[in-house]
Amino acid sequence: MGEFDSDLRELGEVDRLVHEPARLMILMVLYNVDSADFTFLTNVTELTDGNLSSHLSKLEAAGYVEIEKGYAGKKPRTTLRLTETGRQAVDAYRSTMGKALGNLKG
Amino acid sequence: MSELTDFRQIQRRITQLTTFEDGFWDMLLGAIFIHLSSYNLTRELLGPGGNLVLYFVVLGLLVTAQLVLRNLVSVPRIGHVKARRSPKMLLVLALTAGMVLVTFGVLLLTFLSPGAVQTQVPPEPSGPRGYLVEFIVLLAMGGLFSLMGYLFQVRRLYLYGWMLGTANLASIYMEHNYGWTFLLPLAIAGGVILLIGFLRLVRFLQAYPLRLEQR
Repeated sequence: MGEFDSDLRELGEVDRLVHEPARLMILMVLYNVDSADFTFLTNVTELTDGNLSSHLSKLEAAGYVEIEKGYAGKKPRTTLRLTETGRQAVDAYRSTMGKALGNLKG
Repeated sequence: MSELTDFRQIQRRITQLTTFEDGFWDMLLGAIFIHLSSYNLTRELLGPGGNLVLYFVVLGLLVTAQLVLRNLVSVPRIGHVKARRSPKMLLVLALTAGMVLVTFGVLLLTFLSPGAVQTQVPPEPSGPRGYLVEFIVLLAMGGLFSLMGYLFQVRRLYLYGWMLGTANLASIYMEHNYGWTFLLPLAIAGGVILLIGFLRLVRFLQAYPLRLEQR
């Protein structure tokens, strides 16, 4: 068995919570910032409020995202931040996908 | 759903949205160069020292106005984001700040060059060799803005760099050969950038309406 086979097998064990496109997009945005609010995430990802809320709940339940409810003046503001576990999950996902697809030739 | 496929693309999108989308950055740049275009006129009134103080006071006021307006107009629409202070980000920030400082330094050197200082008597017309500093400014500005345009995928920055560099060269040429103390080409270039910024702001306000409820 070659190295390629082992990289390929790792694909089957990829974190499915991260692998879902909308959640991956949310995680990638949060990976690149310290924190962002709900409005910013909606604008960057172009997901609907309901869709974004639903994905964020799943990511929060897994401990990947920290959700903080607060106020900006009198308006409520939801601030989102990637946890260390979330950062590690994204790094692991990048590594797995990179190894498996890195040498792929069309 | 948008096509955000890789990390670099996401970083670019975040920078575009937080810096270049609302047009305030363009308006600040345009206003700075419009102010620079009257540099010779205000120097005659205030003297070199006073003029430099005026330049930095106006620059401070413009930057403050831009920050306040951005907080009042843009943040409620695009949302609030706090940049991540990774070593790589700090390096990019330091390099950008360094390049901006060098470019503005060279530009100020242009205004303080012997031809520019003697405003009472129009200087003798000079050949291409007499414009070495202006050619360096042209290359520096064109290069800096093109690099920024390439890195952030903001195509209008290519135009800004070469237009400002050429306008600076034309301004100094007009001053040397025709005694123009008001640097009209630079004012026009600044005006064009200001107008582009304003049009971007109008488009931004239409594209990102104020959300009635903040989630």
